[in-house]
Parts: sequence; structure tokens; C-alpha cells
Amino acid sequence: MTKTEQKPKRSFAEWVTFTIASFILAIIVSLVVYTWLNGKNQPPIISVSKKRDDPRN
Amino acid sequence: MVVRPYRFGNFHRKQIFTTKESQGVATKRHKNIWKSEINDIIRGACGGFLFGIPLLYTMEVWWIGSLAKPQLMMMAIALMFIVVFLLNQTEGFRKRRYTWEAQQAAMDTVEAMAIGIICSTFVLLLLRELTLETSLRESLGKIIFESVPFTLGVALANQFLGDTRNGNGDEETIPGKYDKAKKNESEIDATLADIGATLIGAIVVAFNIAPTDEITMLAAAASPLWELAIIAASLLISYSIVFQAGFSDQRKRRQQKGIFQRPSSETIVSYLVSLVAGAFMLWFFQKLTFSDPWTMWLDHTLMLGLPATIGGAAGRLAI
Repeated sequence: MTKTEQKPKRSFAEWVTFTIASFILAIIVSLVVYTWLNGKNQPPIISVSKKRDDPRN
Repeated sequence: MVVRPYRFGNFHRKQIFTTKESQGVATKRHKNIWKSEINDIIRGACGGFLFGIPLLYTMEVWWIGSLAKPQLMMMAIALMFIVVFLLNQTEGFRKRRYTWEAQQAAMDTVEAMAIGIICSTFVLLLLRELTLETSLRESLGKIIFESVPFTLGVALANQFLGDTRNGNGDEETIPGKYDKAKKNESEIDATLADIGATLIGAIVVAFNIAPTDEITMLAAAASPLWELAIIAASLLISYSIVFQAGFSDQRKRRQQKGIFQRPSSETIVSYLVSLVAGAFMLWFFQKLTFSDPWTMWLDHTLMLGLPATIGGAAGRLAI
């Protein structure tokens, strides 16, 4: 195997980029998981409710 | 055998010199690693902007993002990963190819997704589609769905307009060739060609956006401070696409004669040309009339100026 055929290794700069990138992606994925787990039984922002004791009765 | 002292001295001096030289080469290489890495990231971001900006000016995508459930968001992330991974097997945003290694393609995919997420978040903040009042779930939906076209653009960055920065020896001969070729071209011709290319690029990208209601909606939400930020971002993105991203013809651009000789003046003049083109398109589609106040002309034109200047930058590289 000659030198030109050798697989290039990732440089230090590329590893730093990858670490930051995976951190960003991990934050996004964990926030989505958080909203998935915590946002199930939330009421809608605008809700309409009917009062049981109608004043006409 | 007589040992001559100067030989030792000479050897020692030479050794010190070689050590210093190798240290210098190492520092230079270290700097080059960071420089090429930053250039790769800029190239990826510019590819994202070229591909993703029309969808950022589509309100239906904002709504799809706003209404998306977390399950759908996770599915979008997973699908985005698979598609970008497949694209990274053949293309990608990096100058160096790792096509034979699935692991490297997967790492590039993570980086492309992060660039897409950062760029789409930046533009959504700039367009006031993300504010402090936006709920977490809505923000996440908007960012994830808008980052899909951005990430695809990042993965296709090398495919857009080619890549001439391969670092081979042939590169050095190019400026000389261009110098000779360009000598006969008059400055006015070069300037007119630049303006024409900017106009064509701006029209291709902004003509799809000008008749839509998004420009009116975005202009209504923008305050003067945000408009200044949009001007700064437009200039920065335009400069990066033409002079930093390493797309094809970049060296030719630096050799270009005419009024737009310096990169900074070329960026500013082409931005102004894109603004005029944008204003004309808005008038053509009756989004602006001559009875409208000048402030309305200004904010509408600045909103359309961002995609128009990105198109103009691509046009100058393509033509």
C-alpha cells in the first residue's frame, strides 16, 4: 500500500467540529424528547368551557 | 583522524535550524488545518443558504413546524439523517473525501445537520419567526423542519457550482492565464458582465419569492434594528458565497477587473443591484405601488434583498 492510497485521518480541527456538532444535535434531540414526554396532557392555549349552572334555570 | 571542530558547530547549527524550521512548518500546517476546516464549514453553510433560502420564505413550512408533534419531529430528524448520510457517501461539503468509510460519512452527516440547524435558526431569528415569546415546541418544530432543506443544501455544497480548491499544483498556473486573458477585456465590459450576472441570479431566486405574501408578513414584523441586522447578514452571506466558500470561479472573481475590483466593494455594489432588482420585482407583482410610503418600499425591499443577494452571488459565480 503506497502513501497516496492510505486512508486520510480526521484532523484535530475536524474532531473539534464533530464534537460541537454532535453536542448541538444532542441538545435538539433531547429537547424534542423532553417535549414529547412532558407535553402529553397539556390543555390547549384557548379553551371553551360551558358552565353547568345556567342562570335561566 | 582529525576532527574539525567547525563541523560539529556547523552540524549543531544546522540541527537547530532544522528543528526551528520543522516547528515553523508544524505551526503553518496547524493553521492550515483550522483554515481549511473553517472554509469547509463556510462552504457547507453557503450551500445550505443557496438551497434552503426559498423554503425559509414559505409560511406553510413555518406552520408545519409550529403544528408538528414531537414524534413527527423525531421522524424528520431520522429521515434527514438517512438522506444526508446517503448524499455524504457520494457528495458532501468537505474538500477531502471519505467516501469509502461509512463511519466518516456518518460523522459528516452529524456536522451537516448541525450546520443546517444553526443556519436555519439564525435566519428564523433574523426574520422574527423565532422570538422569546415562541413556545419551545413551536420553536423546535420550526427549526427542525426548516433545517431539512438547509441540511440537504450543506450535503450538496460541493455539487453547487463545483469546487476548485483542491490544493493541487495546477491552481498556481491559473492566475497567470487569467491575467493574460483578462488584459484585453475592458473594465466597462467586466463591470456590465458582473451586474448582468448579479441581476440574473437575483431574478432566478427572488422571482419565486416576490409575489408571495411572506414578504409583506415579514416586513410587518421587522423593526429598524432587525432591518439593519438583515442588511449585515445579506452582505456577510454574499461575501462568504463569492469569496470564502471555495466554489468554482472564486479565483477568477478575485482576478476580475472593473469597478467591482475589491471583494468588499463588489459585495456592496452587487447588494445594491440585488435591492434594485428586488424592488422592481415587488413593483412588477403589485406588492408595492408608487403611492406607498417610502418606508414600505424600504422594508419590503430589504426583506426580499436577502434571497436576491444570495441569488446574485451565485449568479456571479455561475456565469
